[in-house]
Amino acid sequence: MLFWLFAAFLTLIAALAVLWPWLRRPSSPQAEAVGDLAVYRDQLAELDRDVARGVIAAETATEARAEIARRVLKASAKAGEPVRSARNLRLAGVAAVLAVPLIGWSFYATLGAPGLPAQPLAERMTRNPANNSVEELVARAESHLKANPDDASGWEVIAPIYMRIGRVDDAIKAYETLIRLAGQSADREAALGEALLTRDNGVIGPDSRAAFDRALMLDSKHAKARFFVALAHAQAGKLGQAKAQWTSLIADVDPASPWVGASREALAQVDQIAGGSAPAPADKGPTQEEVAAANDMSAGDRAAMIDSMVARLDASLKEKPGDLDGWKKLVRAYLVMGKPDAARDAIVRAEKGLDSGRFAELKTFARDAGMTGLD
Amino acid sequence: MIVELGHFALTLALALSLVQAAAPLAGTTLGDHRLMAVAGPTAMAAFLMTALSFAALMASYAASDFSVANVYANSHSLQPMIFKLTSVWGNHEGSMLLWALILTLFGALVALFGGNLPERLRANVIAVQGVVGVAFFLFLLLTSNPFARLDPAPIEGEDLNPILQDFGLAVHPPLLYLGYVGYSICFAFAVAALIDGKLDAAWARWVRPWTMAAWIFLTLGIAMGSYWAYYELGWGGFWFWDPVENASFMPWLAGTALLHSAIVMEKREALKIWTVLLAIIAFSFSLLGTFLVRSGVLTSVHAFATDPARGVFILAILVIFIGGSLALFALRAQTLNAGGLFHPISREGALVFNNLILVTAAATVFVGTLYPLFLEAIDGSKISVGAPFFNLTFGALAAPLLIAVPFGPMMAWKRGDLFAATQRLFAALGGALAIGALVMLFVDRNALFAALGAALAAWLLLGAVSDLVLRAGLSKGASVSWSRLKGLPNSVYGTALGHAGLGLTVLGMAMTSALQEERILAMKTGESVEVAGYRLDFKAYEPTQGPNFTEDRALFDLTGTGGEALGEIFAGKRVYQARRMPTTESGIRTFGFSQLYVSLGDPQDNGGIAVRIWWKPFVTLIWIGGVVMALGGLVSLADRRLRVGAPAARRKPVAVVQ
Amino acid sequence: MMTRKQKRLSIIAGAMAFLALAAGLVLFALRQEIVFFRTPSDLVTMSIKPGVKLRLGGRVEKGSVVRGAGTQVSFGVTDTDKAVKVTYDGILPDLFREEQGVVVEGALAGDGVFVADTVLAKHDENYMPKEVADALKEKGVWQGAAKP
Repeated sequence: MLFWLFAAFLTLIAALAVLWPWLRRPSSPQAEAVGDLAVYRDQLAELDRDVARGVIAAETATEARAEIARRVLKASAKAGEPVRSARNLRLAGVAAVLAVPLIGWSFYATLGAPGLPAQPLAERMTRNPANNSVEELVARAESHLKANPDDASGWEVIAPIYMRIGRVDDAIKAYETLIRLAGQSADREAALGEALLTRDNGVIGPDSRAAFDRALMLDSKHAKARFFVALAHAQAGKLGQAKAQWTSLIADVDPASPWVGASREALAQVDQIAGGSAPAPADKGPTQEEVAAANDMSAGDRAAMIDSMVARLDASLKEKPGDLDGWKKLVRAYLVMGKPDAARDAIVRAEKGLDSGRFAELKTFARDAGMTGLD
Repeated sequence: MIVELGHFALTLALALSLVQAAAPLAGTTLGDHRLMAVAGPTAMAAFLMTALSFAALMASYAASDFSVANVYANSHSLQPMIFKLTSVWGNHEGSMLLWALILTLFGALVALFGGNLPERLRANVIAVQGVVGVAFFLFLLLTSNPFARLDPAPIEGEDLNPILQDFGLAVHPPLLYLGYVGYSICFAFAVAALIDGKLDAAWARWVRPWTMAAWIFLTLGIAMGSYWAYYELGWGGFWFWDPVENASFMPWLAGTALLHSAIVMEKREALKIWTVLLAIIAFSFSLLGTFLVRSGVLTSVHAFATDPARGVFILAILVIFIGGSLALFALRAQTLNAGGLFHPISREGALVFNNLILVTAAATVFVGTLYPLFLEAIDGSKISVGAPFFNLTFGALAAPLLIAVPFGPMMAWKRGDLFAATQRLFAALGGALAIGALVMLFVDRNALFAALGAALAAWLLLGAVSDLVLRAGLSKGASVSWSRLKGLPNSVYGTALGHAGLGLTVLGMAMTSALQEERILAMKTGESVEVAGYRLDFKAYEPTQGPNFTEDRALFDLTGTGGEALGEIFAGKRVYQARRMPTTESGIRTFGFSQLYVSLGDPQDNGGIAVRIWWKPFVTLIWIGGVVMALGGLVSLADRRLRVGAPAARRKPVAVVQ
Repeated sequence: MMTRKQKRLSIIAGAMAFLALAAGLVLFALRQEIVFFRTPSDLVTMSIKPGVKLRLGGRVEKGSVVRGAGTQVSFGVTDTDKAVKVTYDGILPDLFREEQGVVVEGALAGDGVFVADTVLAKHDENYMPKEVADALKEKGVWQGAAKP
């Protein structure tokens, strides 16, 4: 509302500026040569002053005076000419005044966003948290932690949020800081281990394994730590040990715990590996470890992991659209995942990066892979 | 709300510019005095709206309002406040808004101080300014809107390009734009004269101070840009003949020519038509310069192609303004009455010679800058035209001009005597030759270029001094001379200062290019190196933390030629967080007019780091010369005779408009 | 004493002669001082003579940067098709990185190694030297807008 008031006020000022000549009494018109005459008269006066100060020689002055006088004569002749007839075009004036609000408002109506408030950063940081987006909340927490880096409870709050929004490296740093400030606990070490293995795309490396081991030293019954240590064995190929640990985990903990279900699925998958139903590793796709990790995951996790690998491939093709093999892999992956629309979209995007010969090759490949509806 | 009010004010500014362009032109054509009178208040209102708009954008930058796309793309919440504010014009949209702001400011100034201009001239001038304004406001609103919004707003900005986060670049664009846009006034006066088919006496009086003011800003802007490139890019060079630099140099050359031809026109009413043409050319180069840089066509033809709306718009503006004004010139030039005549050997003749060389020089720079684009468009072959081309062509043109400079002020108007002028310059000539010989004998026997450069510089400096001395008439006793010196008009001092500043710049360039010493080596901490008698001990290499960057700093202990300790000098490599972009921070120590310059390269595998050290004798004179030139312009501008316009209105016999 | 016409003519004739001289100078300089841009493939296919000054553009080959004694450095410049070895003695620009666009100016030595006296990599990581962008685009390995 306030905005419209101000906008109307600005429009009024602008329209008044245009209207100004009609609000004043008309002045009588001036002959055009009069301005020239005034300039010449001023030049003569200047000349006299210069002579008086002795800046220029008398003869130069005389010569200059003669020249200016000639110009004055010429201009005086014109000054006698009648002033051009004056007209008063009211309609043109009305049009000029109306043009301002019309043009201004019509441009603003198409370009502006009058409802969108200004959002200064400082104000966004201090307003009611309920109105903040997750991003803003994280930024607020970060600026708080920047000012109070020793606030352990702050790190405790922000670490899992980092995990949820996918800022894994920041999550790892947050957990490490938390452990340094508030001391070890099984929960914190296990959470750190989980963050580390997420960073490594699901592979339990030495550092995440060490974190889980520390968690178990503090609490030998800690379910999350036990689950992932078993997974570590599975990834290392020690399937028997892994199975034993998962089985004992299921027996030990509260049946309502999510780790029971996860362990059951894991057990089922370990059995599957013997059946050899693991997806064939693509030569530029996941690493051996990633495949192993995929085998050990629940069906949902595995789908997510494949999604993320495909997304990575997709992203890398945006950087290097000339990579024909990459495009083939991507199209095949989308077809296998049952997403023909995404595959078609990929082909459309590939056309920009590939020359016509190689693009034709890609289309042939897609058709062979079972893609329909290609022209 | 502030953002949207700024946006709305910008649309009002467009509307006002349209009226400012159309109403006065209709008024002069149809003879309606009220329509003509619309020009003044409208121009002032347009300035007010643009200023509001600019202030709103600035406030958004200050408050880090990332809901404004422009703020998001060019700012960071951790920047120091000064760089938040200067980020406003560190990007395309914001700098175009600054352009428009200066344009409307100048339009308002003409409206405010132009009360004594002839009515029709005043209306036409402000209208032409309005036409330029319309083009820029449309360009802003339709292709480069600084007030485009983002919803939801990001939480952090992408930061300004780190090499622009520097004081030098904070002042460089506004100075340059004040110069570019200043020529728009001369352009408006030229086009207004062509529209009406007559050149009033007031015309000349107005054009000269505006040209001078624009030229002062442009000179300072170019000097600032050159010094910035020198210390910020870490290459130690002061001029690269880079297309972006050339884009600002061409209007400077044309503007310098205009400055000199305007003198002839004001004093002698000669060269009128030529001055009108030069005013058009100078502003055309300004437009070309703005858009060559802004469209990105110079760095990449693709930038042009990726945003076709912007590219086509820019082309249209260039074609309409440059083509339109030149066509108008071709049509109407013969209706302007030609000015007085003069002998080829005269002050006027010397100024014509000056104009001829400057315009030709601008043309060679133009060819060298655009030839690669042209050739690529014709047959697709890719070439680069670099410093050797410009040094050869521009150098060959500049040398005779520099030699001729001291003769100009020695010549009489209308009919001069070259022999007498030479006689009067005998002392300067002798001094210049002596200095050249001294450089040859005592500084470096092999440095012919340095000797020639020093001689030329001395010739310019001594020539400027001779002019003053001769005018004071030293033979007539000290008191007479003193009173004569005091009585000399400011414009004489302005000329002397301007030409002396040129001499200083030439001296700095010649000395630095011919006599600089350079060492490039890999150093580890504890090692030391000697350059031009100064010893640098590499003391430490340590990380430091800035507000939005991290920096690795190399600290050197500096020891002077006589073994005296001179404290520390440090150079750094910065990485800015938001863009992960490295920059080089050079360490510079000034001794008198000379500088010691240290910049860092890459870390070596063995733990050392590449270090580049220059000794640059008299290097600061290059920019000091530029400042002295601008000072000369300022002194000249303060001359009573140059003060804007005709006498006060009350002395006019006839009743007066406004 | 010259007439008005003669005065005017003498000035115009002088100006014309001067302009002709300047135009000749520009043409001469354009013939002498311009530097052609080449890709590594051009170097191989066009059999360019050693010693001819030119600009070579492409990407810095991955894993090819070898630092020698002091500020000596060598690296490969590739257009993905062919690669040329470049040696340089001096400080590399801030944005010189493997897999980034680069333009080097210099000449071929007799042994097929390109000896650079200038290495250019511009001041913005989005920036791709125009010539390099065009050349890579022809090979279909680069997409995207080069921001100025």
